[in-house]
Amino acid sequence: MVVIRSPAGAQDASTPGPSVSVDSTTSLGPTSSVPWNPPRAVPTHERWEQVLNAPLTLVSLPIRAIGALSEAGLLRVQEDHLVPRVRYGLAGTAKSGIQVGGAGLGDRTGIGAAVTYAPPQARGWLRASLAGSLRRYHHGRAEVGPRWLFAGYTHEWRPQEAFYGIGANALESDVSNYAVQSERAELRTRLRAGTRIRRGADVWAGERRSVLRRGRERNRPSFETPFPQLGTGTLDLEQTQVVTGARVMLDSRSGHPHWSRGWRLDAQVERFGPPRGDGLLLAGDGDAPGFRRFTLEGQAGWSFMRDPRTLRLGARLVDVEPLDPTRPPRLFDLSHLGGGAGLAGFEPGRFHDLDLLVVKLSYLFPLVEYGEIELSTDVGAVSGDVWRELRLDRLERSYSVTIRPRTHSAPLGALGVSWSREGTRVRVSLGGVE
Amino acid sequence: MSARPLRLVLACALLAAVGARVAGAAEPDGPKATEISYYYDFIHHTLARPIARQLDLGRAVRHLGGNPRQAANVDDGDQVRLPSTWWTPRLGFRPVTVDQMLRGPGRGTGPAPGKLIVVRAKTQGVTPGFFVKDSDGASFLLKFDPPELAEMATGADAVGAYLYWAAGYNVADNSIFTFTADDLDLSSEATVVDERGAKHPMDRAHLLRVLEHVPRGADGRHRALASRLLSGRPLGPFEYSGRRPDDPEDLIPHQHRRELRGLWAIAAWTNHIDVRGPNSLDIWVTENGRSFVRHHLIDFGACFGSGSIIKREYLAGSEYFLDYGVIGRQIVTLGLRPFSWEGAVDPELPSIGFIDAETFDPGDWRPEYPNPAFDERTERDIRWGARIVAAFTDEHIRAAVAQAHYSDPRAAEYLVRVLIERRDKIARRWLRPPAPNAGRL
Repeated sequence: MVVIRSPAGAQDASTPGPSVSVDSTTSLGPTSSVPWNPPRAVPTHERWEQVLNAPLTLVSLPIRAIGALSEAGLLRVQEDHLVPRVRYGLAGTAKSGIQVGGAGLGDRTGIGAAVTYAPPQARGWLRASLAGSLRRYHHGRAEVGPRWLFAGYTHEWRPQEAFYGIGANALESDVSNYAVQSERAELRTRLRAGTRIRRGADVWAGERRSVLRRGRERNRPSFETPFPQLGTGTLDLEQTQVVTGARVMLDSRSGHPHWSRGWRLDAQVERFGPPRGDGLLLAGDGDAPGFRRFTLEGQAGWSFMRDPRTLRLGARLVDVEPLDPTRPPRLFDLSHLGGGAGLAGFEPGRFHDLDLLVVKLSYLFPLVEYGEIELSTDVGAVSGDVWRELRLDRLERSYSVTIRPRTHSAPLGALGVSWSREGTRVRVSLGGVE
Repeated sequence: MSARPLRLVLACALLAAVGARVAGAAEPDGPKATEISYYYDFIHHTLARPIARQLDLGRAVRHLGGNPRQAANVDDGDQVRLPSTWWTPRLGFRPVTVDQMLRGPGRGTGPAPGKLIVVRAKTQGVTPGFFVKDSDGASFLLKFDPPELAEMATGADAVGAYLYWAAGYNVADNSIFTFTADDLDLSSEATVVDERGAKHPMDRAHLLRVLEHVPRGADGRHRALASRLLSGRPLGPFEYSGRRPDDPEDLIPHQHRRELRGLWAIAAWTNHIDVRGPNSLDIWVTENGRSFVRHHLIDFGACFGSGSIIKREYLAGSEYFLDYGVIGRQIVTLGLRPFSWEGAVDPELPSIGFIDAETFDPGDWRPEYPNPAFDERTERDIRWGARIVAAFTDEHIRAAVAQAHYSDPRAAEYLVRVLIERRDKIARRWLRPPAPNAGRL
């Protein structure tokens, strides 16, 4: 045996290092000699470590069993090429115009999924979607025509919408729920232009038939129990309205994985008026209370550093004006706050009234390659007249911390906790995050 | 039954059991082949094991006492006890000339001239490929580059094999090989597993379909990495923790082996963030009248700036896929502390992908997800690996990079410069005189 030190060719930075004993006759190739081994197998943990960890080892036995089963199952998934098969299947459905995704039905609608269909043969002239959830919400839409001018039909069933009463002072203890069923047929023109600053305009006209029904949620009373006056003359009555509207939009937002700079302005006016006769497309039992809804929404963002740390400010103002002051809009046409609609720390549907104003300030920063976090606060309130009644000292506040899994190009969903003076809510969503 | 026959039966059973055990130790067929689930490996090392480590009281006591568990196969001079079927002392411990390095992993010539017979298509891993036999009957795996990143993965795989061989590890004989579709013939028994997971006879149309996406050089020939199949019986990958229970020569938990702990330094140098169980291969070999398991590192296509099918992200090597430490730091600082990689400058060399020396932190490099042997590394293990890295001369690096046969000379120059600078950073960081009681990291 000879003792060899670091080779002469080593870099200056290399210290000679300790010696290693190597058989001088050994070639540089791998050995076929019996390898050195200790007299007996070396334990992963020494005896005293095993004793110290014994209680935890015992407690973790069921988890280890699950792990072993998972390992076997996942190996089977790999050997059976299940992932490529699923991917292939999804790619095949995508080619045929079918796509599957999250339901996007809103807060407290349960786990759901949506299927969209746009047959390639129709060259973009036919689009359809169907979404449903375990809480029995569903939404369907079909559009025929080119994207700049098309006829659309929508039906929707929302069986468990929360309602606490009207006004900013509605009590949390007055929780109830209602159901709403609606159909809408319309002709819409949609224009889009621009790349750096995207401009858009929509104009639409059509009819809506809707009906307010008793809430289907088991643990909450239906709305007409605590608020009997709100059900009078409208419950289970199919009512038709002529809907006309217009929207203009300017959008310069850009960046990835989330939009991190630029701004957006969105203004919309929509009129729900009495139908001609019983309705041209969707006949009903009578006309519903008419109203005009003005919506103004703006967002702006600033960011710094390469993986963007972004400050965002957004505001939304909704002003609903009844066409007949003696006939206020039905529950589901009122403006509302709580949950994803704004003031995330309050239950969805916590506040209803004609108007609302909500402002959101948020700060997003990266956690790891595939995850980021958003710290945000919402301030806002509903009111009978946002221009005259809204008082800054009556604004509600809510705070949120949200973890957002992301790819390099977009956020994938959100897992967050929000809190307000009324409590804490946990939110989970797949998709629908910007 | 009387007592005497009963004793006889018991003695026979005992003898049979002992005999079976002895036979097992000398089993000519060797240990059972095993497979690792990629998915489980990722989930286990990303989610479950980091939590288990935090709950390991023994480890906590060691940590508090500054008494980390040192590698189990080192001698009094803190060197790997030899012989080893995992590692052979080469650079850092013995003179290895550039020529020796280039001849080390094998002939480095790729398939022999003549037609190649395609035996089957490669379906595992992220890049497509073919298993072929050359005119001498030698078997190779041909691996290809992604269409828009010509030379990247194949170049990395070729260079990686030479560097890791020179560092002492067992690797396959990899070389760059060019061919045309006419050079390939199909075996009558060639098969392919299609996108639906179904196995089919492979036809010429399939072969041509795959080749449509294989980049060509200026001469119109397709470029591949030809990896000579290791001789012996493949037993599947080894894990970076635990032991192969049916290998009587595997008595040291892998996470406590110096060769695997110290591999961290070489992986950091080469930005081999994909160093994990599935990228290894145990082979049951018979040499000099002895059958045994030899442990290999395979698949270097995700080294340096290559991510096999994509170029490496700027942050590769600076954080795990799910890095609890980075998450904690980000939360505490509200994300206001910049990541080191945010200052990276992309060389815009498609055949390299992304790797740099400027943002490389030789003290805190991390693979894509935690590797159990790396997690157990101590300063002594790292210094052992750093000694190997520092022993690579500029000439070794230049010669290894030349084996990638990059068509853009700037690519080779860039990679050589980066590897030299990263080597020097590692040497400066780790080859200072050792601190007394070199502790856990």
